[in-house]
Amino acid sequence: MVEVLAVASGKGGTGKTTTTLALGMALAETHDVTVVDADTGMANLLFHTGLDDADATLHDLLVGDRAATVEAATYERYGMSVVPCGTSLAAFEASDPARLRGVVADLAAETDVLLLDSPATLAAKSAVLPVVLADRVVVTLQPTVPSLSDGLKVREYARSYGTGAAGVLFNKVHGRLGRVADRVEAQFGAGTLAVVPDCDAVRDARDAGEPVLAHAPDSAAATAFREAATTLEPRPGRAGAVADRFREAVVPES
Amino acid sequence: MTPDLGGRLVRARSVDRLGVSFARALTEHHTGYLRIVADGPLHAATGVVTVVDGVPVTAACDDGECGPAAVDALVSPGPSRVETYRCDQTALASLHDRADCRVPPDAPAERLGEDDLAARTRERAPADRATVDGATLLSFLGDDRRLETIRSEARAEAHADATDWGLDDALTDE
Repeated sequence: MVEVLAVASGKGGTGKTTTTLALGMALAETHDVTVVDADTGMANLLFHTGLDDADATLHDLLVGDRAATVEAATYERYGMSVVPCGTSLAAFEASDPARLRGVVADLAAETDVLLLDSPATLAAKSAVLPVVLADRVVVTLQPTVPSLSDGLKVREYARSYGTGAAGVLFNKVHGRLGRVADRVEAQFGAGTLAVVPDCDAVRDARDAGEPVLAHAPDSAAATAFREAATTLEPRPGRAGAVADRFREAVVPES
Repeated sequence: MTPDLGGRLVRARSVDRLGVSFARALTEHHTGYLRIVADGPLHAATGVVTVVDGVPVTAACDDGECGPAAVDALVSPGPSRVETYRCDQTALASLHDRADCRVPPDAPAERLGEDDLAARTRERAPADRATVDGATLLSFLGDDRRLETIRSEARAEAHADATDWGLDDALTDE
């Protein structure tokens, strides 16, 4: 195990799932990578990976007496291990977010880099847990005041739980950021991983049910995501401690 | 030179007001591009502005200028020659995938001073095409008091939530 990274933004529409899969594919060139759709209430990673009809998903691992094994809910796609989440409201309501810790612990033992695609809110335990469980958070931002404001909240939540900042990633950018990027870095206390331009290739990839790095590897967005992965530099040497920390911290849902 | 985008020529006009061409593209939900030959008294420029659903996406001049600079060069209040081409969005990928060619949806209308057209274009533009508004963002990022309020409220919420959700042990004292 190397590191658990949460991709979070605090608001919807910033491209967290696209980012998670793009970073995952890029990191998979040098690491063993597992990607988890931890957005249990509004899952969509399965639609980006052609797993719409997946039999077993994360939901099955978050109920008492797991309804599936971790192996059954893990799919090999695009050079990564992918754990999708289902979209059934009933399954979401039946799931216990506290069990995510155990699932993460099991997955962490078997992979180098674990990427958690986080929910677009901080208003529920299931939404905060990925940030709590991660070693570092990637804050995905759009250059708008609401996005920066919500991203700052994510950064502060992460700080409260001792989760570091891997950096900020500006996504869906039109035009030039100029001094905005420098000011964001100063206020967030985190460097810029990449500035990803808005790009039809990303929408086309989503429509095709593929990660953008697979669908349009030469697109401007794919190039920027690869640069971000290079900047991430997953940190080795945390094996064992990570899994132990998750196991020790298992608490019942209140 | 701008890339050959192909497509079908649907009209060619010499216009006194370029805004008419952009307004018509918006009304017709046109997808394709406008090839513009600007022949103003101070400068001449040739290039394209691509549109999707009538909304400008990219701009590029034949001399290599692109993005907002190309809008400045191509879109001027004087007379212009405009050819309107229709084509599929995929044919525009060579420009749409270039971040340096992207322009704000309302850039041509703003350049022309046509406020109503600019507003209608912004209204039509997809929500995720919000343009970087540097001045507003820098104002926000420079407001230390406002940012500290956001931070302190987030810290308070995180601690309150941790108690509610049994995550107290995960909090740090930092």
